[in-house]
Amino acid sequence: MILKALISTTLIVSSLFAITGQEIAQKVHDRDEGDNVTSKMKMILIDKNKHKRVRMLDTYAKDKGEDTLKLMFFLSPADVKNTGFLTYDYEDSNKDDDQWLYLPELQKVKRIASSDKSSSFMGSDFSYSDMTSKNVQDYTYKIMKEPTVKGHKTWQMLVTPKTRKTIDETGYTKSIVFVRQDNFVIIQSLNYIELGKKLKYMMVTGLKKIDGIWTTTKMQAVTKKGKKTLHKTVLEFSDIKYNQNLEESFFKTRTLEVGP
Amino acid sequence: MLGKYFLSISLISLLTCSALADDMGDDLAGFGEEEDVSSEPLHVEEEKESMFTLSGDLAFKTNAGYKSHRVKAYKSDSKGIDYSGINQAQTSLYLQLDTKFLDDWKMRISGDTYYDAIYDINSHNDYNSDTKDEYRTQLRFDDVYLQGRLTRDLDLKLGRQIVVWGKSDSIRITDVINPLDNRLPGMTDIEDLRLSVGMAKFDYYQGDWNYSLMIIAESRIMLEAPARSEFFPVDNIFPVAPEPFLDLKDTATSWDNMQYAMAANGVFSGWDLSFYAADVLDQKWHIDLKTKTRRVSKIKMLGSAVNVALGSWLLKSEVAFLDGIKYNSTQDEKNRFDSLVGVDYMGIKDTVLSLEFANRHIFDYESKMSSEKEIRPDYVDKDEKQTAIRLTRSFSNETFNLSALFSMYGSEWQYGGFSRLWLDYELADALNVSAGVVDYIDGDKAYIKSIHNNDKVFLDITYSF
Repeated sequence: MILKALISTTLIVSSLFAITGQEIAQKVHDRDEGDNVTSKMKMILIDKNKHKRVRMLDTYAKDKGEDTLKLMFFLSPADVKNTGFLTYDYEDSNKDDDQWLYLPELQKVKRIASSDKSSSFMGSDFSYSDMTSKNVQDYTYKIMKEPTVKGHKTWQMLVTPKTRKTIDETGYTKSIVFVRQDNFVIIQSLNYIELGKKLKYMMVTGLKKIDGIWTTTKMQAVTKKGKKTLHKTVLEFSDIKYNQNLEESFFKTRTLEVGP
Repeated sequence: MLGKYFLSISLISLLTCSALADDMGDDLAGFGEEEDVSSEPLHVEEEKESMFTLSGDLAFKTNAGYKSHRVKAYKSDSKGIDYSGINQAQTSLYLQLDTKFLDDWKMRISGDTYYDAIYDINSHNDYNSDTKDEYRTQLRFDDVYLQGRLTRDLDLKLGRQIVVWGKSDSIRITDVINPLDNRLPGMTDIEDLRLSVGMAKFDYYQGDWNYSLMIIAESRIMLEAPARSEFFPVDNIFPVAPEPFLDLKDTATSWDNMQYAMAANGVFSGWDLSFYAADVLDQKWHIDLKTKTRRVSKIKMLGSAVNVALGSWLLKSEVAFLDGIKYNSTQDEKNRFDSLVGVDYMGIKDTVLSLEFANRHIFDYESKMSSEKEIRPDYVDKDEKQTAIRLTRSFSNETFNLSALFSMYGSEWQYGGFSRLWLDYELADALNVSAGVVDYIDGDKAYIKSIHNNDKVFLDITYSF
């Protein structure tokens, strides 16, 4: 679920095509992403001088009806080890997500007011918005063309937020997404960041079927201003397991405090 | 007519789309310019599961006073020690051993030690022995506990630990469980402020609620700046300050001094609510006339805390009724009602702004409690007001974190306080440098007046492993 959320930005209506952008967006949204998922995530932060910083995380996700419960723990580096992040990602866009952060230095669970999601997620090029799923109804979708990307036929779509509220929440004024036609996976997207007029390129660089589910194993995000690269983040997922025995009670602040 | 209208619209759309497509086409070219970074070899060692994990911090800390000020190390010392210039050259080591066993149990043993070479470097200064004892070396246990599940819904945490109560970040109202390290007021941030204390803590979980019971056996009290050191120039604070100054007596760990605390914490969608009750040692000392020492007595506390998330705002509130507080200037124990309102604003990218206002109301207040003429003054008002403003902002993908804390006393900030501004820089993975400045702001209170020239710049370098 997290893997999908990372690349979801979404999608409209064009009577010129057999399938509409809105329908594509809905299919992307409805695609089976598995449930009760655990994985290890390596986050590589690369600055403009190619200096790298690496973070390792454990991730857990579970569906609760239309909503998603997510939990992450930092494994390294040592100064952020055991930092935990719990999210209740609500499908209803009118309801703010619940988010809590556990900082081991403070030994305290702190609630995060989560309306604005444009801030960087743990120093990466991904924002909190990129980490949560989007409501299909919050955007309009226009199919631009059907290019082939890395050997796969895609729909290239212009995705535009319907309201100022959505722009404020995500920080994006519009996005161009490329959806693979054979499996409805977004394999790359270009997001227009309002603040600083920057561009964020997100690309899936590893995709494979695990337990019959199309799963992102590698992806990267690059923030640019004009032609100049400002920062990059690479995410590598490993040890991805679906249908694990994750109970709802696991996704509580109790787990943040005592660890998984 | 209608057909002409649609033709116009289509033409405009076509022209707009064409211009838009050109712009976007340039932007989309950016995909082709990006190499697949993940294909580069990354020599990163994977975290390996192990029964024992040893981690820690190795740090060097230094600070320097930038205003000339002298503090008497002895009552008879006419000149005093000049605390301008470098006042700290501390090397510290924190070690933490974690072990997991069975499925749901773990143990932590942690401790820290430091050595401050400044007392050798500045050996020409005639520091008193209390100052050298308190600041030159330290070797102590911090968290030492066993933690696990007794049943599916019941947890036990046994040993030295920190328990944080309340929802506020800068001003503490209901956070009464752990004693505090007050040796460097204004320079110690909240994560290093609390001292672990030995207890048995039971947590029962039911639905959205968690109920905690704490039986606190260890009677650990606060750490204070020693008398006639830079942060406790007693001759400027007390009209009559004996030599040596009144000892801060430890409270004996005994059945009589056993402490108890209970909490109920509810976590709901969009808001949290907590209720607290405690019979614990006070976090401030008072002068005991019988023994002519400074002592810490037990107080009772009933409190509550709530926070509510509204969009980018987090509203916070805490109240506490404290019973049995002892003061210096009166022999009567007092009751106090402490309250706090605050807000965090997280609507600015990579920024958190926090504002907190607190009031501490003393019941049956006596005017002598604020008098400067009292032999044993308290310098407290009937209503003590405090304001704290905290700003944190990260830059360059959290490579830099800028923080500012502004803490003032009095309804019009007339009693002074301090401000601290610091920058954390992540030099490399797990290697951090922190540099900043602390400004003690003068005001109409004897204590602040006595330390208002203690302004410092500081630098900490920490390697975590």
